[in-house]
Amino acid sequence: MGPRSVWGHLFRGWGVREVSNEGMGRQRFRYSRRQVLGGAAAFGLSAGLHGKLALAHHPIQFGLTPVFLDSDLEIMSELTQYFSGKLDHPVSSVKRRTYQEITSLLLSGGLQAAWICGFPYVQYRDRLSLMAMPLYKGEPLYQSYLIVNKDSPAQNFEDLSDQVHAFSDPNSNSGYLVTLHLLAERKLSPSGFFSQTIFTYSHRNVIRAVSSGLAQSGSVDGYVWDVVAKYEPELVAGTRVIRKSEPLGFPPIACSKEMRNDKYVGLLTDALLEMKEDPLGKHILDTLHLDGFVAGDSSNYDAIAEKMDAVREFL
Amino acid sequence: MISLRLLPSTWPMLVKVPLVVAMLMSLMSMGVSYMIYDRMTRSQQGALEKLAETYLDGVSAALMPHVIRRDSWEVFDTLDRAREKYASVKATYTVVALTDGVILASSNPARFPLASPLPDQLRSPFKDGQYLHINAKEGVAWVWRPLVEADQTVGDLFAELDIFHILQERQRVLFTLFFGAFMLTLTFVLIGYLAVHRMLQPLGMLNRYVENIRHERDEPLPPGMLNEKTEFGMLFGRFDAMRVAIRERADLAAKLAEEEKLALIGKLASSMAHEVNNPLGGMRNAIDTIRKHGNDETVWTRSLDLLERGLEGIANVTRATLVTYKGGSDPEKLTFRDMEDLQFLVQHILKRRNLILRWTNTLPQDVYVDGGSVRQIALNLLLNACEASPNGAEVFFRTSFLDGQVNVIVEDQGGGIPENVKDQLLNPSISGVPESSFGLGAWTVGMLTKRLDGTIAVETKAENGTIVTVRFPSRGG
Repeated sequence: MGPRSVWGHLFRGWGVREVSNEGMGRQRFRYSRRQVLGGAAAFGLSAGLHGKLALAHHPIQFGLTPVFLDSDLEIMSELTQYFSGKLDHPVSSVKRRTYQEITSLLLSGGLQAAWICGFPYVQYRDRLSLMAMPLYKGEPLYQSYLIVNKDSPAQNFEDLSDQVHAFSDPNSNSGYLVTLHLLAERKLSPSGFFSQTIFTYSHRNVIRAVSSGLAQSGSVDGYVWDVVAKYEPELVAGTRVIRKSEPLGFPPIACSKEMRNDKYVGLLTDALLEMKEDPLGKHILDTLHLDGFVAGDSSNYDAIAEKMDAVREFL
Repeated sequence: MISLRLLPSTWPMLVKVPLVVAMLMSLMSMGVSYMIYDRMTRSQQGALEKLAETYLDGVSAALMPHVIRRDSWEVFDTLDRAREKYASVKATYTVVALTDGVILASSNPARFPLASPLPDQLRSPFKDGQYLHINAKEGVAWVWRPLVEADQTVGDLFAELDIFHILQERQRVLFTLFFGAFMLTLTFVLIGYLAVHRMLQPLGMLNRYVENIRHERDEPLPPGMLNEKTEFGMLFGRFDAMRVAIRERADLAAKLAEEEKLALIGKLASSMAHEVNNPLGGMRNAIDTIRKHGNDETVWTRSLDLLERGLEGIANVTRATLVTYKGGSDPEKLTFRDMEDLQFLVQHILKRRNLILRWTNTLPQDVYVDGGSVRQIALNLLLNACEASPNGAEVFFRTSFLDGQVNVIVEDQGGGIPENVKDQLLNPSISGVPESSFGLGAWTVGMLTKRLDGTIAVETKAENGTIVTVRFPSRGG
């Protein structure tokens, strides 16, 4: 996927105006925007109504973005087991390749709740409700890292020009927006700064891409990099962090506003907030290297919103 | 001598047979090894082709949607995962290039970076249209697969497979084959050597017995060797029969030589009687003269001188005859005097035929040769020369000792030596004993000369006459 289509991808997700040189027709954009907003809203309403009737018989669908490890099937199993126990109702986890798929499912009512990224949250803050924020090192905050190959001579962001850069996902804050914001501050676009950009759709894959030399640099979730460093030290050994962003709101667990008062969503929120009190929950938190969950506040994501606005303004 | 040993025809059977075994075994083992190696190489090539085919099928199928979308990450991810999934293939690198020759992704981005032009060295081996190329020198195989979707080529997949272990296995098999063959050949050569050594043992013994015969040592074969049931037993039987025949002939020849000597003495006896008789007449006259004129001191003295010369002549003849008949004073040597005495033994024929003997004897006092035999040879030649000479002719006799050799040269002015007699002289054989006494003399000379390791040369002169030269080596001393 080339950088131009990435931009298109981003705009489709945001529903913002299109850059004239992207080669995509306005007509097409409008169609895309309507499809996402109108279609998804209509589907979400319908699904939400049906969802309420059906919840009594069907498992609660809990969405997960590929935030951390690729091989997190065990964590997913333990999470659903924990939630099912707490809710006294079957809970199944849903995983998709991209953030957009999870966000669309959440907005359309296909998921009752999802662990999403701060960037989609601020994009759809008016339609999403914050259920809980993870605590990492005691704070509901994390950072975005700029990494380079261990053999790269690069020392700062400027040294990354004319290189192949790996992003995680076009809807990721740490894996895309933070770097985009750095470029916007310098009045630069990714295609104007990097020789080529690639999306790996996973933070771990960003580390793999940079470590292998496929990309010379990458934008990665700092929390994921830290955790991978503990589980797969040989993988992160091929990379070196050259820049850490300021602390930003940790990827939250959210639900659509329509579902906020749902009984099971309430129980799910309680299960998250009490997780550290439960043995299985504690085990899950230890595995994820998290301290627990707090209710949090939407204002924790203002900084991300500001970056989004700044990028939007530049573009 | 060395060049003679280098010549294979001069090598002993003990070397030749194991060598032939080694050559045949080597040829056979090389042939068998080549067939096994060739079959294994084909089999490995087939297996490698199938393995590469499976690998390319699997990877290209997984890659196709990502290549169509030109998704570098997914292509890399697929290649990266394929490395673990197809670990047995041992791909050192896999590269996916787009149709414009730009690398979309590779399993080794550090070596083949994203969006860089495809190195020509990756594509060049496949210009002949083959999908698999083996580079034995580097221990790798290069494979290529065009990525085709709906009749449209969207890219190319190149991979290098590490086949060092396969080639190493080949080398191991080849080494095992050749080492095994070498050891087997060595074993067979050793067995061949021992077998031939054992088989040739009787021949070695036979060789020893043949040598014995050559050196006139008569040693009968042990009865155990004369087993008629075996090849060698039969051979030994025949050899023993031959040995007995040779011994009998040798005995006969010795007897004949002895008889010839006696015949010679017999002939001499009559001449000797004549030689003795001549002075006896003079001596009887001297005695009568003394009786009649014994008072005359002059007559007395002359008669006594005559008696003395007569007795001396008789003494010479009898001594020479004795020496010839019984052997010299010492059979191990020839003395100057012994040779000188021969003149007295031919006096009768010289006188009868009115011949003149030109005698030259420059021998030292003692020469270490078989004196009796040399005298017999010289006397025979001298008598033959006198017999062959016309009346009043000259007969030359020269004997000398030069460079450790005794030379006896007898020259006559006769009509030449007959061919059959000459043959008896030059090539006498035990089986060819002549019947005539004349030939017997020549044959005896030939046989005695041969026994003394001497040489005979016969020269026919342009004018009438023959020169016979006999040379004997001295035993030193």
